[in-house]
Amino acid sequence: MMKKYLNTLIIVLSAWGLAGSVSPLQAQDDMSLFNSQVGEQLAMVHTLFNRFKPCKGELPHERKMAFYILDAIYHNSSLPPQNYTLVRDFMSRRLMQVLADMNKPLPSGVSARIYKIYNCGVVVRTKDVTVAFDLVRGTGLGGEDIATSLGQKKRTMGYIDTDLMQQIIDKCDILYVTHRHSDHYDPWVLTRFAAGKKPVIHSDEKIAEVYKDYDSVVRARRNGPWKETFVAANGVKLETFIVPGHQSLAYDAAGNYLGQLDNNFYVVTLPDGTVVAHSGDQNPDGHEVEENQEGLSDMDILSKSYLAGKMPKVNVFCCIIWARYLNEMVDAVNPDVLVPMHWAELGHEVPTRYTLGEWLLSSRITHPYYMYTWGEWIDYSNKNNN
Amino acid sequence: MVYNKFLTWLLAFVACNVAMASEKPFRILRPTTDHDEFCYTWLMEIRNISRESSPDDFEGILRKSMLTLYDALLQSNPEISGSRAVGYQLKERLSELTSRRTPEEGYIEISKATGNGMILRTSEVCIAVNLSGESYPWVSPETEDIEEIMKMFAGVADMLIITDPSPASCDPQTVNLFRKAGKPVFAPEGMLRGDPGVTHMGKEGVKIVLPDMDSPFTLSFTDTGSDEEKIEKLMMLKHEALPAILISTVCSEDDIYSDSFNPETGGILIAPAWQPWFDTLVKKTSPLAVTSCGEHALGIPYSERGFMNVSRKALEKSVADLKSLMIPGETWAVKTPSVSSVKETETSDGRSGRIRRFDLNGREIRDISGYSGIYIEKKGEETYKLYKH
Repeated sequence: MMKKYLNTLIIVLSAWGLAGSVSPLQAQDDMSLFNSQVGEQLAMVHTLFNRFKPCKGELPHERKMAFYILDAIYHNSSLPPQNYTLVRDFMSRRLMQVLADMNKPLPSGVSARIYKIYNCGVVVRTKDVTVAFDLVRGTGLGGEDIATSLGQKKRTMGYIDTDLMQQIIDKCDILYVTHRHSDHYDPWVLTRFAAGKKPVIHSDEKIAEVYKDYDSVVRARRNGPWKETFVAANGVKLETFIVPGHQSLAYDAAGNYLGQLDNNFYVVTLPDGTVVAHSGDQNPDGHEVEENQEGLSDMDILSKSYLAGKMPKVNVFCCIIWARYLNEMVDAVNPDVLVPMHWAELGHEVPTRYTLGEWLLSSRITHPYYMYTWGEWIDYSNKNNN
Repeated sequence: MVYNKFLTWLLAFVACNVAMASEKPFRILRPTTDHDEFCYTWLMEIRNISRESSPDDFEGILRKSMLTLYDALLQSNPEISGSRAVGYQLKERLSELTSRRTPEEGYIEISKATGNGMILRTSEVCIAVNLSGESYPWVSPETEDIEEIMKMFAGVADMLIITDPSPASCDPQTVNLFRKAGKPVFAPEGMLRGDPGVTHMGKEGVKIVLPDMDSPFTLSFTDTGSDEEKIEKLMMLKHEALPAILISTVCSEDDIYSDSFNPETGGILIAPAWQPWFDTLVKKTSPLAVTSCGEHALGIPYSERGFMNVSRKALEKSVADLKSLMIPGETWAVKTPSVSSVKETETSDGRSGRIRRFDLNGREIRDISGYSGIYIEKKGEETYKLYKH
């Protein structure tokens, strides 16, 4: 009787497990066919992006289609980890172009060339210094754990080839990390910067604990905005205005409030005067104020009235697209050019990966923006205001 | 903590209601993150590009990207939530087909429906081929009433022809709707047996007089296999107002390649370009125009489905001069080929035969009896493609 009961239970549990893990159509799929199709689609995206370069404002149809195809592929619930090799190949093709360009001299008249690497990872290149923000290799849910030191979820290996990323790191002089989430912070990348004695500026006490033996890894965190000068590996001084913001509210599995995750909002003045800001995941709930000076919330600080006279005029603003107070934040920063970031990130569950389409539909942004993606770049010239 | 949770719940509830009250024609499951939202956006873009491009455009990058997005979209989420936007779009586009105006005299319009379904129209006749409501595994509330659209087709079309028993080609519910509307249904031997409303076609072909027309309509059926599973392969339509139209959906590869397989050459070939034997079929049938069918028939297993980009590449390589690739709801208009002259001739390489000169969409095309192939005359230069059987 007991055996019968156990058998039934096993069958029910197995069926339940299968139902939860295998989609009804793809259960009978030939994955090689599926893969070849995804490969074709990624090739089309690559072609479209290469043929129709980044432009300011409204996207031409062709670029919009490239983003939509990418959205469709990256929102396929079956993509990771089965197809990560395809994504990896795609990323390699994209980033080889970045590396090739980084090996060429910067064209005259260009103050800063802003390369997108992956998610919020950008590299800002000037003739004097190359600055990286939130550089990661890209991770997917499940698979090999690359972030065990911080007890994060298991993640697959990076979507960006390690050798390729090392070559990008070799070109950079300093790394700013906004917060410790694995789509912004990659321990391997951080270690490579530290091993090369290149400065890493971050916000997080747990990262500080892990890298306490590395002099070049510096935690920058105070109770209110401040200015500080950091020296890049090549000796260039970078004046940096930092808003000690937050990523979001955090709860544990039992629903207990854990506070907000530290997220630094960086505003970096480059040697020629060009100012680049990076928001990371600045996405506060607004009413949490306990860490800020004078009882001000993040949004009180990231306001026009508070920042006036304190923050330098921002030329290029790399900004998270799905922040709760996106429009208010962009208005407060008031950049010459906006670089929207953070969509179709494969470490997020499919429903929270966000799409370009959503942004285009929902955004009320009136500032000039460049919608571009991984392996692409835009130029900023502070002479003609781009 | 309780307050925060309640606030989060309240916000989610309000957002859901706002989203549900928006102009979207389908119910949104979750605000902004629902897969249907993405699909809907993509489908709107696909529809816009589709309306501004031609099914025979194989050069335009925008149309190529549209076909690629269609591929990516339909394989992006096989779960039920992905079907609402797709279902809505299919219904909308099929509805548009039911209300299309009758084409001008001298033109044939080929429209793509779902699965292997096609609609063929001339000024005189409207033929539904393999029309199917497609009972997809992911059927959603938006596709449940697709029967209404099938009813409209049954009202508009003069007949329904079924080529094979695969779920993408044969839908018993649609067959019933046509019978109820008093429209003839034709199917190969071995299919829908015992159904008095179905006319079965033998190997020799059947001559049929349509209920509301005086013109004789000939359907011939090519047997390319021996057992029941392999019987239903190719079908030839002929009518005074139609060129010969060869429809192929399920073909045995062995049969296509065999020397004994030499179906009558036709004017227009409708066949799945994503099948590996497609090119051989084109060479053997020497069609004047070709279009593909059956991409993304979701009722059949994933590994047996076709894809737009596979068909596009096959068609690009194909020797056919006039060709198109459509997504459901699109229509390709072809000027009805007509024989303008017949004469005996000899080619520059010493071949001789009877040359028929066709006028097809303003181009002159010739074929030589005894060879599978076509002559194409372009800008005064005589070029030709010949493929001996």
